[in-house]
Amino acid sequence: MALLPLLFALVLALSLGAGAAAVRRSPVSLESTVVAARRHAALTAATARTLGLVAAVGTAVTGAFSDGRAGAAGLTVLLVPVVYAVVHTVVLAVGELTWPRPAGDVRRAGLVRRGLLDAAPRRLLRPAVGAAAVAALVLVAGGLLGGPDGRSFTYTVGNGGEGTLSQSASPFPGWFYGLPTAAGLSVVAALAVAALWVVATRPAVVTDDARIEQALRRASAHRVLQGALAALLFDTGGLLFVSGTAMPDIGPAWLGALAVVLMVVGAAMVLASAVAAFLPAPRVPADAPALVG
Amino acid sequence: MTPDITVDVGSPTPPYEQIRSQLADLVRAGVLAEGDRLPTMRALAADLGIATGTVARAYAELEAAGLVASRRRTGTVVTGRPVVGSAAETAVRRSATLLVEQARAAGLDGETVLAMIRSALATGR
Repeated sequence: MALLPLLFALVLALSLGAGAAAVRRSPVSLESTVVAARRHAALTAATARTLGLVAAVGTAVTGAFSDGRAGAAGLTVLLVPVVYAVVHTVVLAVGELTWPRPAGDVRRAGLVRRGLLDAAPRRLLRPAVGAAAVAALVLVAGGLLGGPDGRSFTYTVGNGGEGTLSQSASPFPGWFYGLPTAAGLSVVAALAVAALWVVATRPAVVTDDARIEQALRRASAHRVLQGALAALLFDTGGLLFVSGTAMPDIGPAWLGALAVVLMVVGAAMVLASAVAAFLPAPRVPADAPALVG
Repeated sequence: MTPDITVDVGSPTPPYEQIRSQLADLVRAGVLAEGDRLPTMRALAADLGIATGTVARAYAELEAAGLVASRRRTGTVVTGRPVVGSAAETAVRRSATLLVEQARAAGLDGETVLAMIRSALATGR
């Protein structure tokens, strides 16, 4: 049952991916270097997604924490997007490292200086930074508010004397879930930064149209960011949703409202993770009219 | 528009010298202005498919000539100023720019244009 949201997100992601692949086609280029680069990029992207999904499904099916401990299923659900993002990002980085090299006796290069984030699309970079900040906040707050077992939340009304009411709920994103999630997401973030550095420093595609080179590099950075963003959104959204379900029904009315807000925001983030995972990369522009002749 | 540099790895002129001379020409012609940042050695070497040390040697010689400076935070930046040429030189430079624009509009690549210029230089002697 705990894996149902995961399967739902997976099916949604696959549907979005199939739809996006059907509608986003870049125009064919007459430059052989551009054709080779685009072929390499398409092969790398498909391999990264396939291996990422295989690793994610494998993790979900086998259950890395299926040792019978309480909360093991929850940890597996949190681990699945991390595994996807790690495999996806590593494959993309290897693809960038094996990008088509300059060939022939005469080589040309533009005197352009490329920074780490110059090629990163802002529509993914900003949400990724925001999601990372929200994830840190949720993990720390969950850890501090959680019970000693790290996966429950206790709310007490009264001062401990007669008439004191206390209610506990579990699961709750305390340190039990928070520490492994923080470790996993930190690895994803570090790998994403390393992959973006590889994207920024890989050889430029030799083309007479600088827009094509920029678009290819932007598409590479897009693919790196979308894997990391999907993992961040899924895990953070999942933790928020679970924390909403753990809010007690005793105490002030605002606590009930907070529970609804946490669940709605959490569910929205999980859905957004599926959208982010298969958001189409920027199109490569058509050849300049002079090249087409 | 970003200026390009070309390296012919089959040429008897060493690649570092080809890079050095082209960058020096771009600085003297004012195409690269004072304060412009050059690509990192690693990135330029990757784009040209040559060793990083080759680019490092070209940059070192340009620095020794006072045309660029390596700074810890900003990398390698242009420090040299353009050389003001004669009116005739300026006119030829303008003609070269027009030729490149015309060639690009016609869909000719850089090698074809260079071959045409070499041919014109050879027959014009």
